[in-house]
Amino acid sequence: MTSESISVIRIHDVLLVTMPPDPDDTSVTILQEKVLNAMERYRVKGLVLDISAVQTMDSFFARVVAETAQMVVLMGGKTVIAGMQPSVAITATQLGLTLGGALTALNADLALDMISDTFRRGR
Amino acid sequence: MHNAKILIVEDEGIEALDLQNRLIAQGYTVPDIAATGEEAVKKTEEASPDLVLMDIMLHGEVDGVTAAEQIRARFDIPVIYITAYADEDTLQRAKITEPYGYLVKPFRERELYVTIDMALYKHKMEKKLREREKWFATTLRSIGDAVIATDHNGLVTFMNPVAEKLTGWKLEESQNKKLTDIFNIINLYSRKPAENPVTRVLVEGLTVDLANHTILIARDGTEIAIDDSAAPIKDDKGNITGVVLAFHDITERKQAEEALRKSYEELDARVKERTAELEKLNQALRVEIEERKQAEEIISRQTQEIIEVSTPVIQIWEGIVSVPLIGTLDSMRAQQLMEQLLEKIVATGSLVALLDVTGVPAIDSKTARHLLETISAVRLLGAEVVLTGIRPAIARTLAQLGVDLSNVNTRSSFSAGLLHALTLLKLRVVNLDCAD
Repeated sequence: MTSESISVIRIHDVLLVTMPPDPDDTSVTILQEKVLNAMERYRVKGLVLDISAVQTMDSFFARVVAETAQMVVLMGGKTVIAGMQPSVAITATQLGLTLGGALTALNADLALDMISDTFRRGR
Repeated sequence: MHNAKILIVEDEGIEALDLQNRLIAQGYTVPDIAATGEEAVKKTEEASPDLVLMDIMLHGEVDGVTAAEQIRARFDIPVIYITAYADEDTLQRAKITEPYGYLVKPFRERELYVTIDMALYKHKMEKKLREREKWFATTLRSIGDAVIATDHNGLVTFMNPVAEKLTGWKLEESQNKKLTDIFNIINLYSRKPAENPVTRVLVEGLTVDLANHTILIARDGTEIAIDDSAAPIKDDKGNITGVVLAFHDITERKQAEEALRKSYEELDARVKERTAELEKLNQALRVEIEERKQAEEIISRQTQEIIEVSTPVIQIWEGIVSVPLIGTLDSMRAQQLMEQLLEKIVATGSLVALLDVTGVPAIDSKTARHLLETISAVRLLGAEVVLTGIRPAIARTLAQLGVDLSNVNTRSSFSAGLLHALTLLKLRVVNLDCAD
């Protein structure tokens, strides 16, 4: 998995990143860089990190995600981690991994709802 | 041998006195003088002399030879004949009585003393020899082993009482019979005649032991197990002059050995029997262990099933799932609960999970930790947990344990929790009457 293959997509006022099944340390570091650059460049309300494909999460990945979320908050946005697999959630809990200030959502759809008014469904 | 008591038998008084004087002068004692044959026997009995000087020609009915014969037979006292003359017939008769000396008148004094001393010495030696012979015979008679002696031709010369008893032959009957006639031996197993040890000893000149399992067949056909050895009897020059055979009855020993062997066999059989029994028991035990293992497997599977059943995750509304927890929440169940709850949340896309602890009897720190873990895992998915059924007792325990539930939505009753969940979903329960 090369870092180039991870793309940061802006949809209206939200940045959307889809994580590959097994992200390595380099790619998550580059991802953070890309996200922060995009945050600066576009006027967005937040970041949706879709990890529904991720099967394993290690402490480094969790820390980078937590850091990124904190940075995004500092830059005036929200971070929502979306679609975590149950098995990943259990492992993360048992390892005591936390995601810092990041919010969580069952899927990218709900995550978008949480960040942007644009996507909020009419009720 | 001075001081010896000598009885003089002489019918010529003057000659007798002269002889007496000469003997006394020489240091001998002369207790008495007899003039006739009868008197000689009588006075020998009374005085018990060491030696008798006997004139062959005596007056009266009994002559010196007859008297000497009686003395020899009755008292074992040596007799020396003194005579002036004698016819051939008398001399022959005298010889038969085995006299210890024979003096012909007139004899010189020195001749008398030498003859007396020789006679006394010879008699003493013979007595000693007889005693030794008697001692040996007694020894052979009294030992516990059977002893048979033969001459160099293998003819029986001696048997002791034990040998007589075992063979069934008396010494008198067996003397000069061939040993093989009375000592009939065979091999216990082959029933063939065993080698005659005497023949071997005579040929080899060495002591030989009999082969094992030798059976002696007695005169009456009785079979006796024996153990024996045979040794050559050699003279001073090393020539074999006979064979001595010693043997003893080992029937009892054989019987004891047999009994021992039998009891050993019995013991062995019993050990084998017990071993077989144990083997059988062992097999049964193995089968039982196998059965129990299977039963355990069933129990363990059923336990698993019960756990699964005991934590049913139900979707009670769109976006709301519920888990009524019943019983103690141990690690295994907590894991089970977490997995099932998370799967259900993802599958139904529920945003709220109601975790109801009404059915949990008591919560300790461990249970609380399991609950917190479950809650944080649910949150990682992006859903929220409402912990319901916090009874006063449980609330007290949680507070006392210092469990931090400040970030968790908790409610005392399930319905309150449900209402909260609906609120989180931005739904409201309304009374239709009021709404109208």
